[in-house]
Amino acid sequence: MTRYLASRLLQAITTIVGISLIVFALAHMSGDATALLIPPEATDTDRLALRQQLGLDKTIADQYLLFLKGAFTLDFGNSFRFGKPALEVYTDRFGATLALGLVAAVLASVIGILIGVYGAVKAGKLFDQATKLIALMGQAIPSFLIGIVMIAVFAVMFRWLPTSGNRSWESFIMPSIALAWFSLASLARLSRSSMNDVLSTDYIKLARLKGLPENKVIWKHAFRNAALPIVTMFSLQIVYFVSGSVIVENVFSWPGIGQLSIQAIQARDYPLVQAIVFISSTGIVLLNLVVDILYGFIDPRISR
Amino acid sequence: MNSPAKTTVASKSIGASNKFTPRAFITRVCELPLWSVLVLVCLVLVGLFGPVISPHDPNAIQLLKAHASPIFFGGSWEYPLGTDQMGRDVLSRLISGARISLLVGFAVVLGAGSIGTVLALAAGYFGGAIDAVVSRVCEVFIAVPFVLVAIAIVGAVGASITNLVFTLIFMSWAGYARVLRSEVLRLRELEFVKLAKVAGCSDSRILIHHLLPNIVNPLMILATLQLGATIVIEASLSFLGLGVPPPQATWGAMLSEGKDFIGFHTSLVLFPGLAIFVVVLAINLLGDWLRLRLDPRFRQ
Amino acid sequence: MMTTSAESSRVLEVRNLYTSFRTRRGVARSVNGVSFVLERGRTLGIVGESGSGKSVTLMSIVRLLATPAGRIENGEVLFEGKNLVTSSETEMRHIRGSKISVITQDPMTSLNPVYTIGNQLEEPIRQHQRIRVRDTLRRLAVGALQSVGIPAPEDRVSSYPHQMSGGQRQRVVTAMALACRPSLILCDEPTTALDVTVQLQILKLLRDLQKEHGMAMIMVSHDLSVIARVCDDVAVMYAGRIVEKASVSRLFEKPAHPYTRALMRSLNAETDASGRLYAIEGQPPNVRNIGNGCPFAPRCQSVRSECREHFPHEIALSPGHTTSCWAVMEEAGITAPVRKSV
Repeated sequence: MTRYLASRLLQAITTIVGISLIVFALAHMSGDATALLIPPEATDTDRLALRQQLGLDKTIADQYLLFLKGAFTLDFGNSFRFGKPALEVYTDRFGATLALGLVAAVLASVIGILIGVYGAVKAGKLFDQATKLIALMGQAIPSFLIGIVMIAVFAVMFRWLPTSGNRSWESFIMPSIALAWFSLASLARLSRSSMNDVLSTDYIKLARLKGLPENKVIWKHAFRNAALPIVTMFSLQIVYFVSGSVIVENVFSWPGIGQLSIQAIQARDYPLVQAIVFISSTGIVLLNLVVDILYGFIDPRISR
Repeated sequence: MNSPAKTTVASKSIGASNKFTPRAFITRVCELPLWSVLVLVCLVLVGLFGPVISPHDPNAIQLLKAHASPIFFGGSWEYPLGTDQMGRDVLSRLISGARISLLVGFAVVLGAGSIGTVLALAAGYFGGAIDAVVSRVCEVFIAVPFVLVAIAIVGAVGASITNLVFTLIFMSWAGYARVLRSEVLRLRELEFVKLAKVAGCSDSRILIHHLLPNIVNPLMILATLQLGATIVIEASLSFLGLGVPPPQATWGAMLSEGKDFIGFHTSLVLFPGLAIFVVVLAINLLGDWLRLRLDPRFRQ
Repeated sequence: MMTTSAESSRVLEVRNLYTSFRTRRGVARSVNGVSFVLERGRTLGIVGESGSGKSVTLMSIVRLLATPAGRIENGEVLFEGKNLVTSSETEMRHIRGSKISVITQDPMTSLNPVYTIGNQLEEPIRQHQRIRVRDTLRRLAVGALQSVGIPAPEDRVSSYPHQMSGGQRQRVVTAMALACRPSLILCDEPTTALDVTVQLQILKLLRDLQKEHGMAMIMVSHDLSVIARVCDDVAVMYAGRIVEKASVSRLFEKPAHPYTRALMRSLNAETDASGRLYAIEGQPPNVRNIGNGCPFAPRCQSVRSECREHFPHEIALSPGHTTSCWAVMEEAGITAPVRKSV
């Protein structure tokens, strides 16, 4: 077990270093950042001074090492646009995205898994066919599309829900559904197929032969095993939620990191872009690590 | 006893190698998700012959004819699906969008699939340092939220079709590599590889002649599913204004412009939305069907 | 209804059981009119090839067929006087694991990998005997492990299935089956997936435990040598029908049905005049295409014209030895069917 944990930890660290490389390369791919920050009439000396001030005059390698050092202490420098430390800008907006993400995650997991499990239990019957249909449709509608449709129906036509912002709890409803949508469909499909696989095993047959009541067979025996691949899938879902929030926040004008990132990119705000991508990616890696550790605990074949 | 070697090597071609009879053939064809294939054939045809069958220039602005209704709501056959806020023919723009989605989709899947396959074969077969490096790199790419990076890259180097395609290939090859690598690892341990080695086959021969054909099935399944996902991502990026740049008509861009007119002229959102939905659904259905037919676990 | 003393010692009586499976390619008649009787404390062996319907017969007894495809079409299964075919699912659940237990074939996959074997052992006890006290349950589980010969049971009780060998797992499965002292144990090829030495150990274990607790047992196998070791009586099944019933010694001494005799020849590795091993020609029939004749007719050396038309009725060659074969009937000169009563 400790070997498993140690190897995962090592992998996580190397991945984070790799991420830092990409992030650094990313931000420096575009043209001169100073071009947007300085009026066109500025002289070359002014430009040079600005570059020096922003640390852009050092060599690429030096810049990278500086960046790396800063990244591990979460110091990304000051946002060009806001003038504040990039980290501060990030944390200001992080709460909104986290709240939305959590609501969507709970929604997708609980409903998705339940639908999938019952679909497998009632295989072949109406509920199962309906589940398969929902899952299929869910994966065919992009999140921004479902967002627009919901806005059209619930906000414009019926005026039940607000179109943007996060002032009230009602404003959570549509964006979280839009964000959870695809994930719910994927989880439902996976739960169903995983549960199906488990329900046809010998040990489930034996559980029934022992005369155990059906709900014990389904939950204590079958689901406990079916959950394993589902837990593994969570890692993918986490990545999807982070990516998806960029789009959903844009559609619903949700004041979170997603919206911030687009603005930052368009403004060539290097430090902020770096901060956002690095922290988000690292966050994903760490969350995946947690998921892996969790998996190690719930599968006795690994923990013993 | 069936040796695993016989069953896998023999299935070089897609589908079980049963005896061919007309009856078996017809049964097999009838199991195809027909309407899925129909939709996709239409899509490909539209993609290939788009400019020819398009009734108007998708980018021709005619402000006087703006917001014409589609044919079922009192419009005319001249603009069967109506016109948008700039007077451009919706049908033509849909067709143009179809070509873009198709082009981007296939290009990305082809590119990412090829890179992923090559790396998966190398990593899975040779193991050791190559595997370690490839796996680590894969993990990095999979962990980074692809939308953010795609936006960042496009924001940095400018929006164009080629940039978009390369960006998406860059962000999606890792998915293929990871899945196919597991396949290669599994296949490597099967009897027929050991037999080939004992018989003195060179590494490249084993890779190309023995492993590659057996990778084709999972690759096909993955590629089909990824095609749908790529189309969705392209639409999402275009929706945000970060995909294929205007004035090129894409479904995502049409949705982005049309969303301001919901309620007033809802079909501007309805048609491109429906197009995306129908196409992705068809692709996913096909992918599912392929998985049922090709995944050895499900084969009877 | 008056029960005779003979009937009250009967644990199980299967009468005219018909079980079929509805598949996309037709209806498979897996069990096609099977009848037998099992007395308390006795062991009945059911021998036949794969697809002969032996396992389906067992599953029909405990009513655990793959729904919705599997169905008992007709017949009765009288367990201690009660007809299981018409019992409710709740009643069946009370019976399964407590009055009738099943030992399945593959020990590597019959145990749930995520729970300790102690946990899985305690389950039937907790479920059927309503014992909830943790210590008592644990004690009973350890005792069960001990009774099947697992060393250091107090430690083993908290191990997981993947930490045990195939033979040990099968012992655990046996312990689970016996935990509630059932009156009938059904064994579905319990030793097929094990090494030969382990096979012998498990068979001996089953025989000893049966003697100790006085249960009735049905042992299904395709291997006649297994049957010979453990069973008192044998029923030979082919394509869903029983073709011969006898005590073990009688079957080996004087096999009557052509199929049984062919099996015996293969078992003894007999050779014919030219020194070749006897093999049964042909293939087992497709149970989707079964007609009303004797299913063995296409492969039978003594086939007659009646064989393809009607399945022969059962005749008694001697007390306890019955068979269904037109050829045997002719040779033995017996045509009266066995009386179904008594």
